[in-house]
Amino acid sequence: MNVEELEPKYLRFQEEVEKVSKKHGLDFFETVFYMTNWEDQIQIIGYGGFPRRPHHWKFGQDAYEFEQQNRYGVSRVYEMVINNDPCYAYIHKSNSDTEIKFVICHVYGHNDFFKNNIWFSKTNRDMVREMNWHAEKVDRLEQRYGQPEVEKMVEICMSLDNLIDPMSVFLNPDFETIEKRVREAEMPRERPRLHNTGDRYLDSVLNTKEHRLKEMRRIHRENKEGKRFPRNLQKDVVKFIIDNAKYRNHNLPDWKLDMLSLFRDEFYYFAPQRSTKIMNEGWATYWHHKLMIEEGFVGDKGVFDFSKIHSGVTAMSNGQFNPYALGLKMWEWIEHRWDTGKHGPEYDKCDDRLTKFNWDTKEMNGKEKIFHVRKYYNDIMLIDEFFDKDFCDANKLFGYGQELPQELTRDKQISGIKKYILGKLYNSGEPIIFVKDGDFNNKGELLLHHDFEFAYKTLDIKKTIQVMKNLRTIWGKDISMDTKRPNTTKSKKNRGEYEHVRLMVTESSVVSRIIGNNDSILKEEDLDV
Amino acid sequence: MSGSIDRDKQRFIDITKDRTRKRLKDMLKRGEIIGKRDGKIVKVPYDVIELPRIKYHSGEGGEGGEGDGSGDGDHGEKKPSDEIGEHELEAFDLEELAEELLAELELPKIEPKGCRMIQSHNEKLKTINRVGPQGRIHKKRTFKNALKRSMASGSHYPGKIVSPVRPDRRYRSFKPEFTPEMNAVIFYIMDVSGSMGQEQKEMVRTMSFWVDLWLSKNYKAIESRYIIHDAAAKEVDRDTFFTTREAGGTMISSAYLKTAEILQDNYKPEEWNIYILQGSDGDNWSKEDTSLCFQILNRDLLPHLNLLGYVQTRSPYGSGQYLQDIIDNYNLKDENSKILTTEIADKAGIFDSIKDIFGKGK
Repeated sequence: MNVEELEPKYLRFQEEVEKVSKKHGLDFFETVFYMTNWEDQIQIIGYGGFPRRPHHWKFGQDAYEFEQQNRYGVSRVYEMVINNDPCYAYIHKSNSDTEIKFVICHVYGHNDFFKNNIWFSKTNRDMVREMNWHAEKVDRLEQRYGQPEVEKMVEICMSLDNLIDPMSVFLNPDFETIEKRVREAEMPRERPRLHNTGDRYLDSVLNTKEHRLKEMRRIHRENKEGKRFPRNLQKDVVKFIIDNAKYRNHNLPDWKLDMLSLFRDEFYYFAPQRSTKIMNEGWATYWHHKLMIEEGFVGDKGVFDFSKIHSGVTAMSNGQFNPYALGLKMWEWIEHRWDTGKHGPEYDKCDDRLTKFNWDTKEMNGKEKIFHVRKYYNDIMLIDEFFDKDFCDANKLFGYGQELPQELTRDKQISGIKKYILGKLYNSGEPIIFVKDGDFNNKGELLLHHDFEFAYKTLDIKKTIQVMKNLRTIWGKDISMDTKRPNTTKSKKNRGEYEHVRLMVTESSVVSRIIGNNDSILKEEDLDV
Repeated sequence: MSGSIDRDKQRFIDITKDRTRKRLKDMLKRGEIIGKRDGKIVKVPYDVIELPRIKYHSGEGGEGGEGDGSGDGDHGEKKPSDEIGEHELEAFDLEELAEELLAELELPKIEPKGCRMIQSHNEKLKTINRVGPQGRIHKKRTFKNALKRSMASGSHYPGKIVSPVRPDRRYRSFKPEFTPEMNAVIFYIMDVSGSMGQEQKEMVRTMSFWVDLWLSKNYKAIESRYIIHDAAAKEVDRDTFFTTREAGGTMISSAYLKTAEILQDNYKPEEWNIYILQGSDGDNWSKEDTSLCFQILNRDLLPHLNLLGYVQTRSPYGSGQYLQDIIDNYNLKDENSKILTTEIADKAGIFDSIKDIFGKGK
């Protein structure tokens, strides 16, 4: 890529923007803007914002589709910005003067968010170089083991991108490995805790038969629980595989696990971007609007152009969810509430709509509040806390469509809308999969568990089976997964709406078993996938 | 790192083409592709490849309602919709497509009739070359070069003797000129009379499209002439041929006459491979006209032709008599017969028809 730096007049503009936004309290990494041409733009978009990533046709597909759809400039990507220190941003060369200015302001919003939001605090700030290194590493593997082999592995890695636990970077859990288990097994076994009496009579009184039995049972139970591997459900399936697959699959070459851990780093890098999409985009939109209009960076000539761009960015199109628009409204709403003091117990107690509407204590804490929210919140917290009836009323939100409730009362409808949005945000809208047993059937097989009760949605069986097949090539032994699906048996015994199935991928077949209570197998059928 | 994505893009296109190829025959049959021709590029819908991920079963919203659970149960199978992205288009090269067609139909390569002038050397010495026989040395150019070299080296002064060395020498030489190896012309004749329904015309057009493709694969230069006829024939351009709707009676002889006329004026039979593809529902005006047809065929057309492909579409109105007449009048089973006939019942039959006509390599 032959990237160009900004023209001098925009560099001066950039300095101005930095000065003013610092005055407003924004705090950002150093920002480097590059002008790209059409080819580079395609490449950067194909690679999700990065100049280089490991080769894979999936990126090619994204680039190709983008190229096909945007050849005539129907829709455009104004800006690409990378969470990195220094922060890199790309602007397309053909952008007009106003568009370039708009992008520069917008990027500072993102930049500030990346730097200060707590959910980003654990991401790698040198990801551009890191990613380049990943690409280099995969290239070398390709030279050594051949392109088809490596491509297959990249595909497997990419199919596991939602089997991670974004929260684990903050909790630093003790990931269980087989090695640790082996070490534990060598420690002395626990003995029954009996009262030390030294007297046969006292012994028979204090350490009664019942007491001994109780102790034995306790040890037995603890041993049994202790044998479970992992002891607790582990959400980071990828990590579990990286740690333990080499003990299960002796033919697994090291480079495959190496590659998986490279990709795991990428998954964790991208995870917070998914969980703060609304906030992040809203924040950048809020600030570009503020800087361009209130601070007058737009200039006299650009107002019309800017309004056009801004309304395009925040347009609510039919059937699509626009994080820019919702985010912007949320930020404005929070600022408004804390500016006018529309919060606290007194405000909540008030029943009169008009009083509520005209509520104004001249508190003017809005700015402080939004910076606070920007630092500590993510999308779920944001929606959960600030998406309320007044917000819906102010923005004329209503429920419509199959998935949204058609309730008659406004309150119920709003809680339905909220539930719907939150449902899309929990775990970034991905199913939750745990490792339940790393030594299933005592044969070293892997048992995964889909937390169905979390969202009450069934899995796409076909895709799931494909992922399990991918996992099997790494794990080397059979993979099973517990999940639920709509009830198929018409028997009276099993009247529930959903039935418990265990999908099993073995070397030659794919089986689904309907599991009853006490792990008994009610029915077994071959799946043809 | 320039163009790093190009490799990925190419890889993706290769994969997609491989996948599309497998479905190509079906698409060809359904005639989906024809409208999407844009110069030499044909656009073909392809499936968006999704990487497998564990995700929720789409099309099931939120919590299953009361009546939801007792469904038919075979979920996971009832969703072919996300497999093929109809609006996605991918460009196939036309020639590539013809290659596919060839592979699919196992058609033999066409053997051009007669021998043509292959490549003619122009007699005049037209160009300059660095090597050649001494007799053809171009003195002026040679000395000019020598002077240039001498001046460039800085040692030249006016009056100095210029002496050419070997690299300065220039020779006159022939420039070989190529003329097309074989020429071919194809006449598309379509019956647009009232008895030909929209569907029948569509079949003829689809057929024409593939025949055009197949012949252009075999000949370097190919000309196409389009003739439509009802009771009278006229020559039209390509677009009209593919879009026209007319109605009226049917006189096939008029089309033959028109063809013979164009043929006589423009194409010397010894220099051209001549094809006629005729599409009709076989419902001619009268017996007299049919016999007139055969007269023209015998006298003006058949001696010069490579092939007359007669495609009869099955129509609810037509009698299909013309096909029977051809069969009665000509010995089609003969190896050297220049007339080949085929009958198409519906669109799926187009492929077999192409094979019928070009299966003999004429």
